[in-house]
Amino acid sequence: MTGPGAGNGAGPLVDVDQLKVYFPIYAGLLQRRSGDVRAVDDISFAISRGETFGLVGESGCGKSTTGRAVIRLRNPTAGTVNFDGRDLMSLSREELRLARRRMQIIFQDPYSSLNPRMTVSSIIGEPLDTHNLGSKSSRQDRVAELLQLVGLNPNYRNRYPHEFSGGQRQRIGVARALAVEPEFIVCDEPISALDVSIQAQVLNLLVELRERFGLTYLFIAHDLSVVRHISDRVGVMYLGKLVEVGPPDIMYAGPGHPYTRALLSAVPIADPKTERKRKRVILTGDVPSPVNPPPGCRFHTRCWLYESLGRPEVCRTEEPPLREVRPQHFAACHFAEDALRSDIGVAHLDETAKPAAAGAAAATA
Amino acid sequence: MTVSDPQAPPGGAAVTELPDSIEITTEEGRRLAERLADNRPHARKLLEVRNLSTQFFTRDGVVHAVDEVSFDVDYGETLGLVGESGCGKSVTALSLVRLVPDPPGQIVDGQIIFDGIDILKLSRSEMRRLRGRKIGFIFQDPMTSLNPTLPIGFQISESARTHLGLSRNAAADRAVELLSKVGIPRARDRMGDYPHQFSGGMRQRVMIAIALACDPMLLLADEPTTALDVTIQAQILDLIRSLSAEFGTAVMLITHDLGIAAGMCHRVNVMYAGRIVETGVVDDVFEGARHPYAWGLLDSLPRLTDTRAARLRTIEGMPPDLLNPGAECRFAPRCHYAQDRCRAEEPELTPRDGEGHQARCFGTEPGGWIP
Repeated sequence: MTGPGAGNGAGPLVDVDQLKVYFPIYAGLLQRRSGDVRAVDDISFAISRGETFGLVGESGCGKSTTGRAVIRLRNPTAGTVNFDGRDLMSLSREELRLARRRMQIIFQDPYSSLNPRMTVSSIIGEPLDTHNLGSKSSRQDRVAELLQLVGLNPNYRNRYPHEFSGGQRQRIGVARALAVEPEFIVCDEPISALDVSIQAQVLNLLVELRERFGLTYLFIAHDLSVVRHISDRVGVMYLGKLVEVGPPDIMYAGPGHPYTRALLSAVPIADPKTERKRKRVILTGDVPSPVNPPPGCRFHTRCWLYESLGRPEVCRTEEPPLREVRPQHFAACHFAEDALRSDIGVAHLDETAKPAAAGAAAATA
Repeated sequence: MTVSDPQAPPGGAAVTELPDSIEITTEEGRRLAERLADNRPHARKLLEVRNLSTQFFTRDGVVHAVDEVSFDVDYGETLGLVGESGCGKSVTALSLVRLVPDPPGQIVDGQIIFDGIDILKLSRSEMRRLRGRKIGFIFQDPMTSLNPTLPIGFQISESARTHLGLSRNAAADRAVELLSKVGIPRARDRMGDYPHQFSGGMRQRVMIAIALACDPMLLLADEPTTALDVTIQAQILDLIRSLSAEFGTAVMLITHDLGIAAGMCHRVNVMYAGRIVETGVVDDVFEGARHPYAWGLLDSLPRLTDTRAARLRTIEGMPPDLLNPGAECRFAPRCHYAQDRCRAEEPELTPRDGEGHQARCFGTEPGGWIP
């Protein structure tokens, strides 16, 4: 079985099938295995060549673990990940090393993901060494070229990470990922640690690079507007499950899962009038523990739709499958049709479609 | 305590007398002591800040973190202070309660009048009476602002006992009442729990309970939801909104998130490089920003309605070094519209359309070159 909606007909570059990643918990005097944290629990999706798949969710929902398992930085407990038709789990060490040249990752925290004792040139050059690309002499030219590509001055190559701001460090992380000319990059919250005005710069850079090199991204973030901005398709995760998948313009205009609606309604919008008019649902309580996820639908303990439908039994007993509720749009909810009809979380969208600030309009005039 | 009635003396009948540890040595302190018993307004504004300058004396030189900042907070209103990291918004908040780490920081100039009391004239022990009693705080990271070695019940009742002179039992009752008020289920059972036994959102609720323990007139919330997930953030913001309305508490909300400011605040101050660059009612600032930095920030936000890969407008470059700010407009090096005048002198905050709407930009002044 392949994941929903691979998009453009060609075989997907990345195909994730029934992926599970569990972290064992050991407890007691003998440190017996007493349970598992089910970080990722049976998810499937596919990413076509050149496509950007966005993965959103709150902390602990398993989105980063998914990102790592997809490039086998973390071995899955079960399930398969096919990269360009080959099962990553079946590869030998050497084969995996070769395959890794085609896939890279950009991490969230630009402060801890760069070695403070290495110069920029050795940070960016390290993947070239690992993969024996180019000669020593051509290395410096390549580093300079990469720095230029991400908008940094090539003369900075002998500086250390602490001499750069957060946004610049993230650019170094991007240059390092690009060094081996990968086809696929996992972007794990690449801009969440940055200031607003710097976020836009890095986001634009990622879009430019995608266009220029035909890159495929798995873009992981908690910010729904950022994900919408960059993605062709978006997957929403809750407690280790993929609860909704679809193209953002369809999905954001009418989510088929009550959790997605709650998420959308919780996003603050920089427009006071919309903020006053919006219809919100405020979810009660916290996300349950992934050690003992609730039976049936994992969201039912916080679900507003479940409450408004009079707590139907099926939500507590049967796990809803991810099913196609509209063309290309999948949701894992027994009552997705009711969710689709609701106006919660989307009533504001026609408002914000107008140009942002009057100041901006004046500025362009 | 009759939490619902701000006019009633805090602690209600349970209050015996004000704690005697307060040592009054100044004229302002005497006035403060008279006003500790209730929350009746004594001045035109709850808070008036005039030309506040806070500097950090470091080995590399003097950092002008907050530079001649002036603003007011009305009784019961929610004022936003927005800006990016390093713009001076947190230092402004710390200055208001005189908690700037000294050394290296120091308030070098200005006046802070809280409910008619000039707090820069209070002695340190008098200042301690004001903090916690009249001004509550919520900080970004609830894990580091709660004491991990004390049960939360103790941490909430501590401030009621110190400031309101409540007995141990009365303070515990009040703590239970507050905990249920901020939405912690089975409040009485959880009094003995430690911070690590709570989730991030729950810890922030505990922080809010502590901040409100003495029924303050002003709540300083410094990035109260930045460490939280978006659905939990919505819960906490909703809680702050409803509690502030219920108790008539004014809120000063410090945030980098313009969406939060839009949804929570009556008025907003936009800070850049230690200065307020634009101020006004939220609608005026968000819909008719008159400072290029303010609308640049608004434009650089990805929107829920964006179409894929539309290029975001960005503010190029980085904020200036506050070691030597110079005499120019601090935004000029990043501003598309900057002209020679902007690089020669710094503009003042001058009025724009809309009540109290002001911006610090030559280009958008009447007759300026920015339409």
